[in-house]
Amino acid sequence: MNQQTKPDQAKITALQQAYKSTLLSVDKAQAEEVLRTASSMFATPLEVAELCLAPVLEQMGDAWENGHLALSQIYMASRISEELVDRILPPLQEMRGEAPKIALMLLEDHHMLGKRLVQSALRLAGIPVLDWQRVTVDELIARAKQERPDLILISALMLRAALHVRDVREGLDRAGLAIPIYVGGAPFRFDPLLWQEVGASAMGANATEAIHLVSGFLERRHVA
Amino acid sequence: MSPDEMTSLQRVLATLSLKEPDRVPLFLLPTVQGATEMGVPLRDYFHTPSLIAEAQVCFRERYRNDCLYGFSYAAAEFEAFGGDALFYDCAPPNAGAPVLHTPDDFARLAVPKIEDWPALCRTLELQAQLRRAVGGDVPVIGVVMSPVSLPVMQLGFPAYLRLLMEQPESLTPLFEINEEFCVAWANAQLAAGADALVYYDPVGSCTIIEPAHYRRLCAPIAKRVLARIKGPTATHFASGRSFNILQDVVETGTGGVVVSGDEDLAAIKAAVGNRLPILGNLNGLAMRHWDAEETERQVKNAIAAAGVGGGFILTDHHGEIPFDVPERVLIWIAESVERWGRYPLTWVDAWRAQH
Repeated sequence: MNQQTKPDQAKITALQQAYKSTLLSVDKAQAEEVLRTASSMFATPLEVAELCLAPVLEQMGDAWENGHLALSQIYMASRISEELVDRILPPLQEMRGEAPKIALMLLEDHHMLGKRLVQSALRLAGIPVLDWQRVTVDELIARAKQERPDLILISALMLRAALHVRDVREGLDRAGLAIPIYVGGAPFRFDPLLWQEVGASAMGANATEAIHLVSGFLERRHVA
Repeated sequence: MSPDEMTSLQRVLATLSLKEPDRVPLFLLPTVQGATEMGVPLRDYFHTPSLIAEAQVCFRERYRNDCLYGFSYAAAEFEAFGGDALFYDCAPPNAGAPVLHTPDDFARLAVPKIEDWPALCRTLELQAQLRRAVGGDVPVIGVVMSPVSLPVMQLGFPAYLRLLMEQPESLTPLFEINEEFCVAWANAQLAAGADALVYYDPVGSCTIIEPAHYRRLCAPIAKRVLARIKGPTATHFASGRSFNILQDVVETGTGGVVVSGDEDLAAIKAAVGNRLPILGNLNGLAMRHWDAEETERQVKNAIAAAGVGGGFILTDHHGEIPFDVPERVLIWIAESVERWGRYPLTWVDAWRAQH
């Protein structure tokens, strides 16, 4: 990794376009080449994550939301990127030093795809996440009391589970835990008012939007 | 009913023939609400076909609905493969943990026999009761999951998507079993009393897989399956997008397509409306917040986009009205259809000009 100044925006944009193109054509070898080029361009692995991987995944997430890409393409982009990051870059999460505790979970369901995509996106952006797997409302509140995360990310597939976020919020409040809750999943996408109705602090319309939301949270924590 | 008033069946048949009936047909699909209507817990409700039938007949009268929904819950098909349906107090039953884990598990599978599975038998009994309740004037609608979409429950979505994208050939035995089951299950429903079937294929939507993938995998299977189903069908992408595969959907031989609330209904009408009836595309989740004015606006928007010339059925885009949608919203929808859905749709040009 070269210790050099940050490349200009035109080069960064070109790199992002090249990387996205390789992902969309599911060309793992070419994607690796672009990522190795990125590694030599940026000063740190975290910059590779923040300036190349995360923006590309966010662009792809937006394209899915607008009907220009399929979920299967997002899935494959995540799979390829995770494999390459493991091979090319050092563990990104460790490079952030002491980070806030961010807990990610699926609320009361057996269908984990959305949560897995969020987990993958955050990992590729170099954001460490605690995986709480599948939890009920009571389990979530009990674990939050014990582990005191700084941020809770909830993925919900069914409306019923999404409405239970309100019970989570109330349970946390009763316990005196002012932990913000960010939510995502189909019910929140089809009902844009739902996240506020259930007392969440923010909503991601797609899995990769979690990068933007959580990065904003981290920045605010840093400034504070 | 006036002498010129069509029966629901006549209205729907005219629509499916791409002609203008007396008014836009309404397929309003409350399911879990029936338990409240009958005053029983959801689990009991879904285990008692007579209660579901009674509730559906009540809903039809209350909402001037043009079909009876002979559907219980999607996970009933999953139960036939050894899975569990999870019942809640105020929500549709959900599929429990996946029952298949690796391609090795497919070798042990056999096509389930319909008569061996109580959940399926209850659905058939429901359809028979609905048929007896309304005679031939109202279409009874059944549901089948496509062979390509059922694995979301059988394997779980992450494992299924991994195989679909990375080892697609490994899924062939599962699709073959699902295909046989789908045809048998569909024809059993038609024999029991259903007039038409909704072919649910959310995985085939452009929201989940690329159009090229649909053409390669889902369309050929749909074409084979629909050809073997002995009755009319409509393809439902369960709120997934379909615009970019519409031509392929037409060629599967389906009798209609249900459109997502995410999509431009007018564009879809323009693309395939002269060949395929269109159903859609009210957003059931958003309905929870609608007042009377917004409800009327949504109904008018949909009718203005796709109603002219016939070939359009107003319905929600997911195939089920969420439990939390207030009853008054469903009544407003029915009233709006009654007011604005009468043919000829003379108000539409002015509405389009304003919006």
